[in-house]
Amino acid sequence: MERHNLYSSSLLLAMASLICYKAYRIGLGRPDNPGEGFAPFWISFVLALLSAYLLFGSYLKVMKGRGGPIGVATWRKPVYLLFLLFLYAFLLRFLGFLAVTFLLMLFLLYSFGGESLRKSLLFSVLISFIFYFLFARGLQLPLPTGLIWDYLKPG
Amino acid sequence: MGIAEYIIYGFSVATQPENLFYCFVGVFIGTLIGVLPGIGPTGAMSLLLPVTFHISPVGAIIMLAGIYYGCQYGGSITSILVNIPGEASTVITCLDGYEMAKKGKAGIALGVSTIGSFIAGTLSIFGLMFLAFPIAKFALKFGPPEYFSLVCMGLVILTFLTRGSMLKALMMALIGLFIGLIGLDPFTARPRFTFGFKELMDGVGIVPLVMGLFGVSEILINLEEELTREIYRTQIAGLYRSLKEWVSAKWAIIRGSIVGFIVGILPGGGAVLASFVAYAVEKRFSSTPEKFGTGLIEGVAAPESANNAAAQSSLIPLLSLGIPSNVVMAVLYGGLLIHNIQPGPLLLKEHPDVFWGLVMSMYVGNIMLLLLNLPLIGIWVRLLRIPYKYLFPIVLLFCIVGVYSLNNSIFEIYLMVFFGFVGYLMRKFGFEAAPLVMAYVLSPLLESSFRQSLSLSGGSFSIFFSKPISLSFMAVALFLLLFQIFSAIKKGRMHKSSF
Repeated sequence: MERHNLYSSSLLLAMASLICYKAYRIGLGRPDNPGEGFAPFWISFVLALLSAYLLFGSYLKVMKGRGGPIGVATWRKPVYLLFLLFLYAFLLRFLGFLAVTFLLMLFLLYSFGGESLRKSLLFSVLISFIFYFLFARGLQLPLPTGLIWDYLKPG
Repeated sequence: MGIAEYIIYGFSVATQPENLFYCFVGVFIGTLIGVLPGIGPTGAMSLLLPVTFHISPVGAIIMLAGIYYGCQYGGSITSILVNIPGEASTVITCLDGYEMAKKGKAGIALGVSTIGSFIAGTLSIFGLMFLAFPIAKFALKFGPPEYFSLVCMGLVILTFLTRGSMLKALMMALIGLFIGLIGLDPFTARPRFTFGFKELMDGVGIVPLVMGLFGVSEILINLEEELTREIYRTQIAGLYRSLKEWVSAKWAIIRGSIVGFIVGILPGGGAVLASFVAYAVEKRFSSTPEKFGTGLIEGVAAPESANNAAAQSSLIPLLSLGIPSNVVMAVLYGGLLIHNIQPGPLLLKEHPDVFWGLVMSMYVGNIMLLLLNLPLIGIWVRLLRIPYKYLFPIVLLFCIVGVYSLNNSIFEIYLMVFFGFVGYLMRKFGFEAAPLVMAYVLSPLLESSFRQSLSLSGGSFSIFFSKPISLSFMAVALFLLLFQIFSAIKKGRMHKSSF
């Protein structure tokens, strides 16, 4: 965990320092009339101090050989899913809810679930349509229909 | 109106067909979420927040609260039969509940858990009815300095009671405070830290934040390893029989209810902590503490009663002070705000239908849960056999649609995925999400009361220490902070588990 702490505290220290600087630029105001940057400045300042403390403590422990390894082998699937979700959000506007949801469900069940292609296809079609009818028709939620279909419409 | 009239009025609100329906939906979904490991009440409530736009404020709050206490009932089923807690507050039930199931006493364990939950829930509602009024009356004396000190104390207690490192909890609370400040400045209406996104002018929404930190990150963590569930194949019999065993657990139920009620009110308390404390207390009271963990009925009755009592008593600080005591209450706070209802001392006066309707609906909800749980346990258990590979895509899709439907904005989906990634990293690096969400919710109140206080005092910080109520809150906060720091220094392991 010490090596984990080393990396996380470095990241938090960098982030807190950046916020501190930005908050200072926004304006701290006066004590009787604090500005917009006052609260963010002091919050990030304390965060920077605590991060520096954690960083220093963890660094000493890692130097003494008490770091422990960071396993990255298990990170593959979560990172892949995150990428798929960002792609989903990106394509939603262009392809519409039905098409993108179908593709996402298919990927999830086929590649993550290890299900056969036939079952995955069936599940994806079913879920996409159930959600579409439940939310778009039932609850009248304006789900994206997809710009590309409007573009491809004749006339 | 006297309290008797309010109770009658509350019942008339809670028993309206529309509200009865939402109460049933809430407790049903709550039980379902409790049974299925992975989502939890926080995620489920955030998921349904957008749905509540279309219903009345009273119905919405009744439904959201129903999910929370319904979850406590449902979570015990998985703990007892599968040894997988469906909900964090039922983790401790696994110890004796699963052992009882292995001995063929699953029915008794489930029965005592349901009856204990019902009794504790009902006792807790009594406490809520009689305590909320005096606390709200007292809170009317609060001005900006008192609110600032109260929030400070709440945040310190929250980090003090956190399960992991206090240092990390403090860091998360600070990040939560910062996220809560993103958007337009409340005094000057100038944008702060919006990074050029106009969608962030209104701030970061609670739904994408909570769904990302709890819902998406939970799925990401579960993907790392195949979740295997083995349901202990035992005859679920004796649910209504074995009265002798139930009677033997009566003191455990009462003690659990009292402990749960008290812990639920504390900032950072809630159902999870209540169940652990109740188990420890019960062990202390027992003449055979060495038998705990081997399938003792008291080991099921006490934590199960405590988590239900806490789930309902944690509404007291939210409704009477406007301060959520745990992350679930923070989501409920968000739900109230969405419906233009400001939780706090004036809620009881301005929206008696919400307060008394909610309180009385919990009686009704507890009876519904009793009827729903005892006869339907077989069906709930069958649900556990749904493979995770089918479950997680559906949960994910619910999250996506739920977040999108808030403002019909794809940006909210990006935001949820981003917080899902942050939540995943936090879990990997040993940071808890609860202090972050709590601080995020309290951040606007903290900042506005701080700035108002300084304006009132002409820039003097002594205002927080010159008023008696504010001073006492500050004293508690400082004492707890210093106590924790000194005890950690003494132990010489500041950044280990103790601090």
